[in-house]
Amino acid sequence: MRLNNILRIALLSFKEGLRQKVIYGVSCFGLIMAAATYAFIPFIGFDICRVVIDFMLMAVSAGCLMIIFFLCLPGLVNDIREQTVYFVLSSPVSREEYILGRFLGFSMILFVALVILNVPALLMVKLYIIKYPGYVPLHFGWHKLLLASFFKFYAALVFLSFVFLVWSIMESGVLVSIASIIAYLIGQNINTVKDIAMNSKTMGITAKNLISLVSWIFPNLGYFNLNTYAAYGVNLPEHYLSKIFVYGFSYMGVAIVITMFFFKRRDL
Amino acid sequence: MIKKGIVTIIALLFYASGFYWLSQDQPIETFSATRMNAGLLPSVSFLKTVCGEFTPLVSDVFFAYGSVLAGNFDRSAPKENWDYLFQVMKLARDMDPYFKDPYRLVQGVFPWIPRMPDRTISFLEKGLDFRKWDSILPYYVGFDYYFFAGKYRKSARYLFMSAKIGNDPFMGSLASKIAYRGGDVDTGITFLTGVLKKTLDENTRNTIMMRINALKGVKLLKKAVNIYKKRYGRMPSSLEELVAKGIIRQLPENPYRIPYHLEAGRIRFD
Repeated sequence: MRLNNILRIALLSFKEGLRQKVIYGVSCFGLIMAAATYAFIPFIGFDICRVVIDFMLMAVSAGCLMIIFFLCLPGLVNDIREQTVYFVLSSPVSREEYILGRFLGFSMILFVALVILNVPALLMVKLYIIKYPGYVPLHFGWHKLLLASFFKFYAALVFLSFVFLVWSIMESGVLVSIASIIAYLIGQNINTVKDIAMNSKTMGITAKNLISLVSWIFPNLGYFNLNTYAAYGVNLPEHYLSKIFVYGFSYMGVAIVITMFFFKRRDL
Repeated sequence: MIKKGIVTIIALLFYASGFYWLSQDQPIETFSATRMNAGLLPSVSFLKTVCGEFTPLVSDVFFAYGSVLAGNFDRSAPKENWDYLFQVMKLARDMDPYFKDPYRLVQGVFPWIPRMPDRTISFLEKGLDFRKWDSILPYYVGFDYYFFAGKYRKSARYLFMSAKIGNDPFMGSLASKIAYRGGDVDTGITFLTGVLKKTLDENTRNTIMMRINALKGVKLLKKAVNIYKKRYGRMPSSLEELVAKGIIRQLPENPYRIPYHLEAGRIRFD
């Protein structure tokens, strides 16, 4: 594998995102979310800063998700459908380099979106902290807020790796979209479902094992949800952040390796 | 070109008349009387499954909806509507149990207007598992146990908790008074005066002031009854006897608009 090839494809993917005016879209979305926050705050009596933080983190999550569903996923599907992948693979670029380059390029777009979405959001939080100093949560910290925001982006990367995996197996764009939506919903709720299942006295051992298996296959996106930590400064278990970082990194690694494996054997 | 303009104007007129018709459909005055069905609200587990990481936002939306409803309900609203509002607040709480506002709204409305102190207490008690740094929640629970349920020991337990979290010596001494003296009149007045200082809402302040004034009347009458007992060696048969015997010039006015009276040896005001 040559790093140059990977970077070249990453840059191409990034430029493709820019061509599709993703920066404008994300900026507009950030501003709309800031306006929505401003309009919503009069309904809230006390926990004003917490609501602003919620809106901010939601904007990051929703922005990243929209990029995955409206840019990354169609981009991957169109590579095959419109046969653009042939142009890339006909040059001296291996399929593994193509996958890594594409993933890196989309990650760069998501990172830019994270930065853009954070600007109006952080300004809004700052504005409300100045305006309502008495309503700042007791254990609030900027570093906690930024960490929560970063992990939203990180969760998007983990989810993106799963989308790559699904795309490498399925040919139909519709199927990839449906499978991705289901994976997202499962990923967000698997912790709750697992807790309920493991504590259930009526559920059989087979069902419990099945749920346990599902929790290993799908990305557990609930781990990266640090809203409560950011909004209230609630203590996390020891080494939690490093654990989820390692989990996310290893999940992405495994998913990309499997994607390469299937994509290499795919009949294009 | 002219045709397009005419079509646009007609479409706009249709939109405006539809909008006007809809806005006339449910005037605010009858909003409170419209019966609502809490059974139609979605369940927490369903919402959590669908909303995933956006659950705190859904909590905000339910709270906003609930506060609009609460603002439009009056005392004449049917019980179903209060049940509906309570369920909306439960959704707001369960979607994000750390969110302070649902607890505040429930405490500010439910024990006072629809007279649901028990439900309020159970609502607030759930929040104690989450908002462990917040001294206001146990304070509310302690207040509700004292003011509405008349359970002084339980009240004292929560006030102690509040004093410990908020590092508040006043609250601590008050809790101990309630615990050991069983909630006598002086303690009641002191406690309610403390509550009054922390209350901003005008209606709630008025309600508390009424109770303080009623207790002040009880305090005065208790003193007079004690004098009567010392002088005649027995309880007066009625409070009017205190006036007849010249111990007090007249019975104090009860803010609850019923005369103070004796019932099984205790002075009653409500």
